[in-house]
Amino acid sequence: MTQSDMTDDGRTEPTSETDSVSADPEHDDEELIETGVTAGTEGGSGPVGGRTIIESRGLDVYYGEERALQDVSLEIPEKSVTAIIGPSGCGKSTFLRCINRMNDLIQNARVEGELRFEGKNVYDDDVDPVALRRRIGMVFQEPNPFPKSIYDNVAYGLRLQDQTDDLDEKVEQALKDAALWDEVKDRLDESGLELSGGQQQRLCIARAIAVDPGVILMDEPASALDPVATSQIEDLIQEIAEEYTVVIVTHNMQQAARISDRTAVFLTGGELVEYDDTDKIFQNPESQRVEDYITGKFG
Amino acid sequence: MMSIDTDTDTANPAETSFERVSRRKGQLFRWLLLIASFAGIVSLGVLLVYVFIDALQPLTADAIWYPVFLLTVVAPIAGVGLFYWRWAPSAGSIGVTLLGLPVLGLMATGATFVIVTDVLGSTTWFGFVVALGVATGLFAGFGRVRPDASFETRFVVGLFLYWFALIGLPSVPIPFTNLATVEFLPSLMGAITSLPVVPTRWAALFWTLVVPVGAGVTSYLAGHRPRRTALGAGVIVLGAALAGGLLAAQVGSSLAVGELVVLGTVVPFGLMIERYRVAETVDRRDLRAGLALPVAVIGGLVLNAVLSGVLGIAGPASWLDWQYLTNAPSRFAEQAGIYPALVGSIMIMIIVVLLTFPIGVGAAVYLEEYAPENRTSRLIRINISNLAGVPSVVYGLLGLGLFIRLLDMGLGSILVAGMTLSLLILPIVIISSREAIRAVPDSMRQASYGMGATRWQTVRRVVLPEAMPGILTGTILALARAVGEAAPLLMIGTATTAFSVPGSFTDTASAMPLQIYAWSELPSESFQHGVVAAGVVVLIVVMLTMNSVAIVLRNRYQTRGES
Amino acid sequence: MSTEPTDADGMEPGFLTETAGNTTRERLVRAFFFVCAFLSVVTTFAIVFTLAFEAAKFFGVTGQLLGVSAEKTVAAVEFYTGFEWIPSRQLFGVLEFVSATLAIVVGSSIIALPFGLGTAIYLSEYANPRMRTYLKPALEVLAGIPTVVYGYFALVYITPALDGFFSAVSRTVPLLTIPDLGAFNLLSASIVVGIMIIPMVSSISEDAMSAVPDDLRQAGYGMGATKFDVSIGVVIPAAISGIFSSFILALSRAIGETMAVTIAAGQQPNLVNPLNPADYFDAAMPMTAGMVQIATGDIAGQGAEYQSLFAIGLTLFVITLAMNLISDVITERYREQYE
Repeated sequence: MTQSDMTDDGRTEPTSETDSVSADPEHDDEELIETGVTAGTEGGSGPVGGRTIIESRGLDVYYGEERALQDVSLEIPEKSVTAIIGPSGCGKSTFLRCINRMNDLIQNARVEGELRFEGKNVYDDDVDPVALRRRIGMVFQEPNPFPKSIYDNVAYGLRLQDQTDDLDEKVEQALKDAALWDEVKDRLDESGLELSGGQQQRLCIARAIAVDPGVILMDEPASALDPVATSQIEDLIQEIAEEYTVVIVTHNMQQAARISDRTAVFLTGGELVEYDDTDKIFQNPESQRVEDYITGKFG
Repeated sequence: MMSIDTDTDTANPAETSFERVSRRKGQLFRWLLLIASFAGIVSLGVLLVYVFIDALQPLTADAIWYPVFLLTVVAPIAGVGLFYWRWAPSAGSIGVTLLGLPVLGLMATGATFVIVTDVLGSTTWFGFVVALGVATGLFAGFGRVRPDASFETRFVVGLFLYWFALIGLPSVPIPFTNLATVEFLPSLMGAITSLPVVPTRWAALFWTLVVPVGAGVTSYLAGHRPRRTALGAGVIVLGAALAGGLLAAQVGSSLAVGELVVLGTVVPFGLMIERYRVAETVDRRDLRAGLALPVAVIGGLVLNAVLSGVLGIAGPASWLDWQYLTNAPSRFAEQAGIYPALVGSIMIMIIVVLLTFPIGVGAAVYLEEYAPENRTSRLIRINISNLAGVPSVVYGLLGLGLFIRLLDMGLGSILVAGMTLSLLILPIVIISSREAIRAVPDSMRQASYGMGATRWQTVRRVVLPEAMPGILTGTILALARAVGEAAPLLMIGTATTAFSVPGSFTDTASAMPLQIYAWSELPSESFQHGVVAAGVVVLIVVMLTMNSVAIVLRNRYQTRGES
Repeated sequence: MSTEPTDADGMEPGFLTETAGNTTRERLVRAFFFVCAFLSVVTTFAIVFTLAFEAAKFFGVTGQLLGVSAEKTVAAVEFYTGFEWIPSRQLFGVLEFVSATLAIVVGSSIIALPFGLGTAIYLSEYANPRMRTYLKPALEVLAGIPTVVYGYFALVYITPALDGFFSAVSRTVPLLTIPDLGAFNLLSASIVVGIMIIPMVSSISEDAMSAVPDDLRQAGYGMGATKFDVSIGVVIPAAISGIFSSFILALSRAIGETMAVTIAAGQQPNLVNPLNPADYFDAAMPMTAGMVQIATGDIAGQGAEYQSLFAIGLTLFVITLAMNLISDVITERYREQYE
């Protein structure tokens, strides 16, 4: 059942080959549900479905006694936009924060399973989370620029890693890539907090890409912004996805449908219910629960 | 209390006496509360007025002095103040800042002058600064030559350099004998101070204080001004200092005093004006209007002094005059002065600042950023708040029993006094620093960690800069408390009266509150209502200054947080 | 199973295991901060140890244990029940000191508690924002004046003023006999200590009252209560644990206050009855003033007098610590009751 679909921006995307039926008898009466993607989906050409850069295997997360993620396994291809959607409280942000081990900062969080970045399990004992976070950028829901100048905000990560040669050029390039340069180029000394909400978020994006990470994680980056700023961010995301891998958590389904190549749907309890090309999820999801969620019956 | 009359026309409901009574009770209560709130403050105000009158004796001047003073000082200031209040309130705050900064600078300079010239001696200070500079230069050079040296290597090299610059290899006493080894290697500082040719006092101060400050001004300005302007400003600083020194020498004071006075007043003033000019939120007209206040104050005072001198008018026979600030205590009230106690207080406070700031902030950082949320840190927190409630005398006993008896440090020495007072205010510094650090929004930390910063990097680059105004406010308030403490010092044997200035930090000294205590025991009227009053005024002025600085800092910090 | 990445990015699997930043530095920094925090624990131990060590010598407890010559030790019973303090005659009874301290506590609370509480109610319930911006800094100034200065005020201004006042009163009112106000007296000292601790009462009580949820007030107003009724009947009872704890803390401060009472109440041990107003007109020596007198006298080496200093200090420390702990417990336990 390999079909090619034309997506909005003209790229041909192979839909994924259907997986073998899940051996779980509980779901036999439902349509085919994918709980994971077949490995090495080299089935199509084109940028999507390329090399897997992030892979989780049987990831479980507990906050104390409460289970936030249930046995999540998926593979995220590089240089694409992968959206993670689902109702509130179903573990989307938790999964995102596992990728760069930001969950380590929460005291009673416990992670089991594997999460591999560039093939290496980031939860191995010999992995330094600080080094990991220098390879992975993060943009948060509320724009959080530092109370420093715009220049110093973008330069923060570079200074952290002692990569201060050609600092001016790198700052400029990052601001250009974040579509913010023209607006701020003659006021780099001003505090980052003086910018509007949308500009602040683009500053945070510039800050993240200044250190040239492989992956950029975004946790509902536009939910605190007005519609105009939101659409600017969305355009920006699609642009930077040509260079970087973007994983974006959003509760806005239309946004996910607009900008992402692949979508993962998490439902209550931290369960990954379906993960597929975006078109497939939104037009013809395999799972009834996903269809109910997308059509607004719950969530 | 009458019940409502049911026959009353409902179109005209009468106010029954029931309601009237209860309102009166509430009003009375409110007035009582207001009185209670202000009772303490008003009482203190009255007492302060009394003590200021006793100290300054405003009613003892020549009759003609009053109109002269009113004309030259009071009227211009009142006029400027009125102008600010009616037409330009924002200029008012600028004016107060422009006046306050030089005053603070003057106090700081006075303290510096006293320490550098009287306590340490200008030659020792010169040697210290040069040795420090050489060591720092060599260390920076090492950093250039070997930029990828590991942290451990740099640490060792730095330690080595500073050790030899400041300590050298001194003679070591051989235990169990009265002998000591020869001094193996003098420190660089020691070598410089024993040179046959040493700079004169004003020259030493020029090179060690004026030039670095000028360089600092230049580098600050170079950030946003063309290089010529920045260099020019630095040169102006040097020139102004020299000019001020020469002027002071003409007037009867000394070159060194003049240099430092200019440095302490002109530099902050100029820098503040520069900051106002750069800031876009400041109206140029407001800035110019703001200059009116310092001009009025300083001009008025100078004019008053000149006129009084020329016309031969005597001002009030104030107990608090320049002699008082520079004399030693004496049995004779007219000659009594507070100078040694003042110097002692300054030196003790230097030790206190050096100890409490790093340790207090360090403890707060640990408790807020590093420590896990478990019983141990809760216990530490309870422990600290209990320590804050321990009476200050008990801290004095701790100093006595531990530092003096057990560790055999000098009785009543400045070092012991400083250490004891540090322990006293450490809990307060820790508590207020913790609050300031806790107030830093977590989103900033998340952003920093998300970028792969280590904990120390996050603390150093994000948390501490953001929390620093709050930390400084709390620390300054704690230091203000330490200045006024007498009980612990009494316990550790600090002298209540010192006649000479201490020579080093291990000498004994007195402190202002102790001197006041000693004087208050002398029954003569001129002491009780004159000398002591003047001392009290000095102490209060110091404390109010520190409190005001802290409050101004806190207000700036709060408004910044809201923007 | 994902294959090992071999593309031109050149990132090998090992890169994540290189430690970022300088971990020696991180460890050193963390150790430094820990030592700073631990110092506070050390301080407490040091205080307890120093006080107990010397006091134990005083009480003869450690005499044999440490092999220290038990010269002139004093029994604890004698210490705490003796009425006279005359070291030269080997009399070491602290009751005189304790009575004077109690008098200060009683006297200062008469001023501080009502005025402090009234200030707190005003600030919390009645004052408009402008008034608060003036009143609160002014109260901070009140708390910031050094205690030496307060002592001086009491000695030089308040005592003469009170003396004049009382003389005038006893002249105009025929049957009232007012004792003479000594140059050193407990009354001026109590007044001044009371003024000094008003800010403690007011700020902690005000915090407690502000923390009372507004719903409670609204409920009261909704039933037609006046502001007075609500303040007295709703807010104060709801905040009573915080108010009570503020009282205890302020009084513990009054107990520990040294310079004001030393200067104003004189240096003469005197047994006073805290409940007898006439006794306040006399000079007396609270515990803290007693310590000052011992410390500024001849403390020759290891004598009983030197050790007595620590015995009194230990007593003081235990009392204030107990009061602080009680106040903590009260705030913790009873805070849950209305939230």
